[in-house]
Amino acid sequence: MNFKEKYNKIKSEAPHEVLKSQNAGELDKARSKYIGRKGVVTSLFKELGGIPHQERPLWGKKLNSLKKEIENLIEKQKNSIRKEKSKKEFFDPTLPVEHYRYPGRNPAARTMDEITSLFISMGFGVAYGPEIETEYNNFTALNFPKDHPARDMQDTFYVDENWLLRTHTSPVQIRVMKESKPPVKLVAPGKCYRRDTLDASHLPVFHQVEGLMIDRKISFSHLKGVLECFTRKYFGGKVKTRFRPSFFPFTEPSAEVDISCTICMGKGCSSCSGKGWLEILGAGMVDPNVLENCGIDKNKWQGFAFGMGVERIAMLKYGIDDIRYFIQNDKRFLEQF
Amino acid sequence: MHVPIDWLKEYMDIENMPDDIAEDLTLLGLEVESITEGNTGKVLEIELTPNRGDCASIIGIARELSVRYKCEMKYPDTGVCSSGDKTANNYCIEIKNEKSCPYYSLKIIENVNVAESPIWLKKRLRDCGIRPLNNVVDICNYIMVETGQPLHAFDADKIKGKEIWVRKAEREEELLFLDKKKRKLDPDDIIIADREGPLALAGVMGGLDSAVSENTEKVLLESAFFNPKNISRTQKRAGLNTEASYRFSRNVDPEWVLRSLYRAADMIVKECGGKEIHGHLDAGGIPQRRKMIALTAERVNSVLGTRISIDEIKEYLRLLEFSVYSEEKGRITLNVPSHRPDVERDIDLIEEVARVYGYDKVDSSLPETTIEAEFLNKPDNFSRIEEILKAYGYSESVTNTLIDKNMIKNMGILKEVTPVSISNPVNVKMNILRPGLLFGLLQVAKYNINQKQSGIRFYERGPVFFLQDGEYKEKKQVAFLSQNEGFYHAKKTAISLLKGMKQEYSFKYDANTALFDKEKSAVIEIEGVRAGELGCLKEKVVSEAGLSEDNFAGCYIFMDSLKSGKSSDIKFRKWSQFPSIFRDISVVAPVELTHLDIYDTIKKAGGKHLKEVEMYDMFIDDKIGRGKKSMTFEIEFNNPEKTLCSEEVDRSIRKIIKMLENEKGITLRQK
Repeated sequence: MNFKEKYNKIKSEAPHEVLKSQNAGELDKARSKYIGRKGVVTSLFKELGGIPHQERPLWGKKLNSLKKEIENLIEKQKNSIRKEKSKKEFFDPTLPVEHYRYPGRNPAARTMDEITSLFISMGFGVAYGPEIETEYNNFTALNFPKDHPARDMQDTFYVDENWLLRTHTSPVQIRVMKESKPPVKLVAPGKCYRRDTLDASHLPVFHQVEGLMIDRKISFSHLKGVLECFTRKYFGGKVKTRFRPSFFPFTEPSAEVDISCTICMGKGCSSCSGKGWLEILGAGMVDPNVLENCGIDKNKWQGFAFGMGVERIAMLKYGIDDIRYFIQNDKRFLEQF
Repeated sequence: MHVPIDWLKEYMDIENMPDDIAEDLTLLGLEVESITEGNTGKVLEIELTPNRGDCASIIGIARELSVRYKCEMKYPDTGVCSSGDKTANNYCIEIKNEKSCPYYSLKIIENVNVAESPIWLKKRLRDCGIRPLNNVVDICNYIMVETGQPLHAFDADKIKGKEIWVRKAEREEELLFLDKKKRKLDPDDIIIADREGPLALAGVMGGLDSAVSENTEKVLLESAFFNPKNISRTQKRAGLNTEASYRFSRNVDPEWVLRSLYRAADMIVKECGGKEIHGHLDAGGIPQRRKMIALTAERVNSVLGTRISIDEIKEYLRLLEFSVYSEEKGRITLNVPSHRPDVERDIDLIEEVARVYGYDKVDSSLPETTIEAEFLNKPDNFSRIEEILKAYGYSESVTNTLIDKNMIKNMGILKEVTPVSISNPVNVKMNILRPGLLFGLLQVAKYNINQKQSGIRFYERGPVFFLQDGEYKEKKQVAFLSQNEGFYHAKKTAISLLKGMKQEYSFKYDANTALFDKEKSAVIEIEGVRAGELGCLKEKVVSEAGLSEDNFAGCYIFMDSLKSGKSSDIKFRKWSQFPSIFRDISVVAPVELTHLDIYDTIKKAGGKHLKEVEMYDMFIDDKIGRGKKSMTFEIEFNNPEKTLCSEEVDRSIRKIIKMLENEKGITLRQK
């Protein structure tokens, strides 16, 4: 075949071959066959030298345009293959994926941990005590009079004559004060029991966080400072805190602590029964009798104690309207916390 | 306690709005629960703390308010004859037990016209939550609400004889009460009796037979001081919480026992006609409360963290009717008024000062403490357990600690553990403390399955309780439970948990316990001690928990067997700087030969550079021989001192294969 025949053969076959390529591989083959380094068009360029001098520019031009033509065709085919392919392999980024389902926590445990951590950040230690307690630690040492109604079988679960299920976390105060010398600065989180029938606002088993701080000069003013710091950090800076006189056997003076209603911002709504305030904890200066019961010199040491119901605080914080959710452990409930 | 504001204003000149009065009372410690519209205007509902019996009256509340508003109290006029006449009208009172009833008095009113009360009186009583009955009874109630002293009126003609006894009830004695119910009396109850028997349960409720009715002409009006503890016991025992017992059990003011009696008698004469017999008859003596307490401003300010002057303190206490007995060198001694038996020590006075000063006025401050802040990793190792179990998709639950003894008895658990029983359970389904956490978790599973929730994976941490050597034991546990995931999933989770806790452990596969299937279970041992169990729960355990479905697997671990997880327990260890060589071997072994058997043999034979043996494939197929299984192991070799050469590893592999053949009859699988 002479130069011209070869040229014509390529010109007629190349487009055909390029266009019949069905995938990138075939197309690549066609490319190297014609315009690759060892391709036929490339080698034909090398043969230009054998062409008579005056015809050489013409053939040179022809070969260049042939090469261009094949390149264009390849590019075109490449696009159409890609299009074809993407039609076949449609990628749908909107398909759902199997994702990690957050298993959740019980908000009572979560809230108790949060409260505890907050006091840890204020330098409080953590203490635990048993849930089966002596009547002495739970009542007598805490200055409950002998005939106090709380001691009644109606209100407290008993295990035997001397042992009961603690009705608050306050006996941890007694244990700590008896076992270690002041100064003391701790919180005691844990379960408590009251002989209530289960309903929307009562659980026979619930959680409390107790706090205790004893030192030489701890005053009511410090109690206010520490608890205001707690409510501000836990419920947010806008919340207002109110202390009002109350009564507990183990503190004197005693206080009930309210925060401005988190729902109506203190204007009065159904959540706060129109009062604008929500009661969140009880507190006071540790009664000198309690200090004495623990062998601590009431003339040298004084301090404060407080206790809060964990479920109640969680209910206020998250807007939970029925306390029974806490022991049902419905997945739909847990997943939210 | 219901307090009509209109009534309150009789004792003091105030113009304050009901909302402000409510707020001020609340800040004094008398929490106003609600303000409602009554027949006489606004009515406050006040919740009294148990120490403030003195406020169970309109006068008591007014007295508190007068302190807040610094205005004088206007006490009602009462003329009391100083001496009682025990023989008036030939009646005679005898108190059998002066400890339970220190003082008892009666006043006689004749020719009374019992009728309906005037409208104003009925309105006030209704606003106080008391149902009007007839003028005599209504006046007794009116005075009780006003002064806090409960009174009782007998129809004198219904009393047999002229002797009135205040005594303890006798065994088997009964009384038909005003509420028309007959109740048996307790030998600890104080009763008022005539010669025939009980007339009234003292301080709680009167009897029907001696009650004042339309036909009554002669009234015996009673005012007494009963021991609060007796009344408290009686009302609890009888389940009778009356207006009278509420007040008597909280201490009445001795000052007002007789004043109330005379005031009521005057009012009865005024409203119901009749003639008052001069004087009164009584027995016993009115308890005298003469308590004195010393106080300094320094002490007040030390407790409160304030700077209140001694003069301010004196003024606050004067408003509360504490009078200064003496004063020297900044130390004052005060007389406690008769209506405040709750004030016994200087600390009680400090609370009074704080109340009047205002809790809101005490500046807040943060303490300077002598305590070093402790660096606390979160106590126990709860947070890491949480991370691991949550990563495995387990939801944290908190279940009721009180469970049903019968349920765990039927499960067969009582053979292994003695639970702690509750002496006074609310119901039989909550009569013991849980001896394990899985019982509660099964209930959580049941609830969620009933709620059509999928993916049952729950965990809990917390104490479990049991009786051991006559002592109550409380131990912290962590447990998890899942459905349809089987033994291996439970094992996988347990290993992840233990490894995550940096815990050395071993499994023993001979668990034979009440909870788990014999075959599909394992005991977790830590330092040779049984630390927990895992496995598939027995069908009986699941069905006794009330679940119709099956296939639950779970695990529990006693937390005290685990390491503390504190950062101080962690020591950094370098890993080998030289590359490992990995070899795979596939073996054919008898089906009943356990993985552990083969694993241990490989480990034993592999030499000191064998680092890890991991099985990654197993199948049973007749093609490889009946009763045989194929297992493929990846074995890792490493020398931390130098790069291992291929020949050394080949030698170890040959040793392994030889030992497997010789000791276990295991052959290499032909490809």
